[in-house]
Amino acid sequence: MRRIGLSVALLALIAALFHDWGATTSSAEPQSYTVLIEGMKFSPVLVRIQASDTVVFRNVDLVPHTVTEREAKSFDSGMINRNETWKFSPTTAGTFRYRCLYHPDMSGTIIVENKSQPRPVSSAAR
Amino acid sequence: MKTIKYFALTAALILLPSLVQAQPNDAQIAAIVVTANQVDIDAGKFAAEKSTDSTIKDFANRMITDHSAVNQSAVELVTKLKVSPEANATSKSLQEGGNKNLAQLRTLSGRALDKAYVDHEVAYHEQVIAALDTVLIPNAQNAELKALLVQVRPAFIAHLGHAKQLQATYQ
Repeated sequence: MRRIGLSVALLALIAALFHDWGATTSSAEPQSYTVLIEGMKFSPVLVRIQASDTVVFRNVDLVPHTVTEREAKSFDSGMINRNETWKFSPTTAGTFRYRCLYHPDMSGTIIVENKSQPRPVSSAAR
Repeated sequence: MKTIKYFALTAALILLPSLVQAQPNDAQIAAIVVTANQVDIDAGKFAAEKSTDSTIKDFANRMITDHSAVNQSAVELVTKLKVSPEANATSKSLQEGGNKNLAQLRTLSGRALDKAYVDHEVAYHEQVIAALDTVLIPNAQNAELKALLVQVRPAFIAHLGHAKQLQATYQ
């Protein structure tokens, strides 16, 4: 009985040594995230990504929209019609607040982090 | 006289939900939706051409683009469903109201035109939203038509909000 218990403990220890605690996805592999434009809103309104990841804006509304950076217009999708998409792949870290040029109340935020930061498994792309 | 005409038009808009027949069928709902969009497109085209205010022009162009997109979706759907929009008392009343609004706008210019256009846009969107909520959406029988009406509602709400923001600048 005692030998069985020791064996089990030893096996558990070996398993723990080989387990990858705090597993992360490779931060070198770009991920893709989707923001739906629906009901005159961007959803999700906040996206946190790493540089060189891609955010895909998909317009499922009946009317056209834009994705335009608020302050300096550093990015502007132009008109995105219904069922069209537009991709944004930032290469630098920062917080980018954007809006729809056509509809003043529509806005969202993209937070871009440096690629050197390991991302948690839970933030895997959708 | 202009004031009387303006208030008469406003009163007609206020009465719009009650003018919408109690239980329109899907073909009549389709005609109401298409007409409602076209009326706003026509008003937008006039304002975009005649206004000298860039903010008003931008808003008017937005109304043209958005309502045209909604109408395109509506026409595609009724074509798919093989439903022919059926003109009815409500759609005709909407068209008549739109014609009267345009006639009124044609007598104006400058800030007076801009104000009248925006005031009408606020009243018009309020009444169309009320009609959507109380008559059109509840009575739509076809699930896809109902879904389209529900899907378009947030756009009309956004238009109303934008129009109210503009209206506040004329107070």
